[in-house]
Amino acid sequence: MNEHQIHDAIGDISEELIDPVARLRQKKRYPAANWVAVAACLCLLLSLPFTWNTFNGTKAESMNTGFAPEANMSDRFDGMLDKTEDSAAEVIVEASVFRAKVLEVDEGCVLVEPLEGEQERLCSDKIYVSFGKLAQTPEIRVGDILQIQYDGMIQETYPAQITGTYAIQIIE
Amino acid sequence: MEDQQIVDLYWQRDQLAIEHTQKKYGRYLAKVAYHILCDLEDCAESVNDTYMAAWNAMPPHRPQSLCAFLSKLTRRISIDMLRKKQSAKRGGGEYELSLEELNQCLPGGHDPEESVTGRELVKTIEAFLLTLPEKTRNVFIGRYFYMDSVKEVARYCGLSESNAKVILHRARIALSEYLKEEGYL
Repeated sequence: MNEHQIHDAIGDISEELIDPVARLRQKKRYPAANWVAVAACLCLLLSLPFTWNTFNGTKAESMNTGFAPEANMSDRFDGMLDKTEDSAAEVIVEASVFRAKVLEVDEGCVLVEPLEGEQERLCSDKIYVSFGKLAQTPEIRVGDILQIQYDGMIQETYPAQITGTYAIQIIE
Repeated sequence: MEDQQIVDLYWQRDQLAIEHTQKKYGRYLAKVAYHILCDLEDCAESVNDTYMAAWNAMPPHRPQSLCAFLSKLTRRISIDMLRKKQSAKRGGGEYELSLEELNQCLPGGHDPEESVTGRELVKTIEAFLLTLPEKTRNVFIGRYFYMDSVKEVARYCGLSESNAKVILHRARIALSEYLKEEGYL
């Protein structure tokens, strides 16, 4: 007897003995990489209700406000900007007052030097402040100390520039 | 389609049987053949021959497990194909022919007794396999019937590779002792 005969005999064993192994071999394999993909899909599925709720919330809000959903996103964005601007403006209104010494007086604008300790001095030691749009302006001379109220915006040129001036008062 | 329905199609001599067999077991059988032949073209030929053999065998045969039956056919056909290929590689048909002719002179050549012994050997091996625990039996059949690598056998039997190797080693020793007891060795 040789190994060929044994091998051939094994090839002729009954199907009942082969069948369990045939089934084992047919079982699908799920290697580690596939498990990662399955886990990722599960995460995605689990996060779906939250995403759906958020989307529905946006949609409901848009229905309440009467905006179309497409427009609503930009409106929400704009609104957010507005709010930011409003709140920023509130902060700026409180903070956008400074005192400065007049260096030059031109038509519709003055060149000033913010006094020591003023935050605007950190931006520039010389600032052009335009007041052409103001209804009333005092008569300003070189050397005056002014209290300037503005919109908080300073153009970072040199000298710096303030165009959104709300009011100017002469302190000294 | 269920295996039994496919077998029924064979019995009705409906050619759809082959189509469904190909659909359900084509890749499976190709893998069985590839493990033996290691050549895609031969592998495809072997699988096609399997369909033909199945068509010729059913009826009268009605397999209990179509998958196991087809695996047996593919295995046999692939091994025959491999042997022919190897004999062709060894220098052509004449040498092999002469060997075959001389083989007839040897005791236990191609006589009916040998085929009886062959059938008995199959029964002995079946009996041996039934003495083994299920897991060991599956590992043994996976390795020596399907000729899967030890790594693959270990994977689908849920074992480590080294554990499968140990199981196979012990099973071979046990088979050797069993064959000695039965008077084959």
